Amino acid sequence: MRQGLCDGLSNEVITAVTTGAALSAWAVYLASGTLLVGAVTAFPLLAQGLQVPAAQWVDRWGRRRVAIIGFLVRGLAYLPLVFLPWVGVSLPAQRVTLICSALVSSIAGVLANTAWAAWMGEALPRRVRGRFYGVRYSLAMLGSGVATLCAGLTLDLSKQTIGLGPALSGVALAICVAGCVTTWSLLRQPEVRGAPAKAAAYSWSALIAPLYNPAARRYLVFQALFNAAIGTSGGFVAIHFALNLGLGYRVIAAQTLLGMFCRVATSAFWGRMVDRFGARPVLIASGVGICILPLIQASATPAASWPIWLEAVISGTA
Amino acid sequence: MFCLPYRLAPAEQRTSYLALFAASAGLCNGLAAMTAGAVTSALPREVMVGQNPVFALQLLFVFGFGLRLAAVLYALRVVEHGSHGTRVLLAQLRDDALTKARAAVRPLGRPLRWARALARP
Repeated sequence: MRQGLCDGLSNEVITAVTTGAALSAWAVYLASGTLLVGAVTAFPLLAQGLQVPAAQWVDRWGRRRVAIIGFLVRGLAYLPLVFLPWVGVSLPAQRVTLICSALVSSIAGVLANTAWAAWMGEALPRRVRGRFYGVRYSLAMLGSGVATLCAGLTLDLSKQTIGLGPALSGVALAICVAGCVTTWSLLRQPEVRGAPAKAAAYSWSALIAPLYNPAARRYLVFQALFNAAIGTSGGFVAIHFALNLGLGYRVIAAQTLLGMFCRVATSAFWGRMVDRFGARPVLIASGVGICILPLIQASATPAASWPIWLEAVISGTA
Repeated sequence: MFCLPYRLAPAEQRTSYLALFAASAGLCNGLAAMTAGAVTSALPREVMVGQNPVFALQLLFVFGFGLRLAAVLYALRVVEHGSHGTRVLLAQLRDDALTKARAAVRPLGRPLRWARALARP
């Protein structure tokens, strides 16, 4: 179980340094702006569409094997970026390399996470499962926060010293190392004895069954609207802060960290509210908070950037 | 928010419900991010709204606010059996906050009464 905590920590480091401040730095370095940020933000989300076939593939190839190979590929997909600033390739070729790395990493991540969830679902005794996931989530948040802050500080310091290119190369190397640590940690965890539970066979009729359920259909429409709304502006906040407001990467990292801290601090409270009142009223109450975030983001200007801190508190709390 | 899909899905079909919920959420989010990225990269960095220059990304945030508002209004139509209304939740939150605030200032009550008595001529 200690190894399970270790892989959670290292895996979250990869997520932390491939989004937010680091992604904005890549966009600035490759002089590409919002198109590249939009694509790289979209890949992990679009790859969620693979969840359905992923369950079948995991069942066929084995949970442990898919999880180990998947997490290794997820980290090492960024290996070409380590050499990118040192080899003399054109900017468009560098952009394509970043997009390919993000795409491969996203697909491997979905496969690995599906396999890991199925593996741990059987490996962990039921009585410790809740505590394990709780501790793992807290450690993952801690690792993510430290990694975000370190990446922000490194990128800011590098601007005055060695330049953004070598610093981004170092960040890419950190992603590869985190991928290898995750793999090493998973290799030390044994396969569950006995025959694995077969994944449910998906049929077309089973997949579209929620569309015939009015409550599920309404939730699907809500989810489509809500996720389209989040995707429209959510991924571009960091690049707006960096490019338009002129904020340093460490400030962006600290803002992300504040939001993360508020999320950890209030998650138990919202859990209690869901138990007491149901999920729907909590969804609406926190939805109102999430709704006003883009207005706060838009109200920040280069002269008065203080709304970003308010945005972090509300986004973490809601 | 993450509990609602589990509560809406019947136990015997939970896997297919959750798979469809996760896939649709990811696809909508991803497609919206790609479209927004393409639209803002086609626009100049700053655009004029009336007499005021604003960043193109600020316009995107305002559009995002409109979509989020529509989503939250639509959430009122989502049904969950056995849940309380949002008003009940907000009223309870207000009552809890008032009770905690009163409990926090209660220790100050006695010294304040003494101070008031001393100040009285």
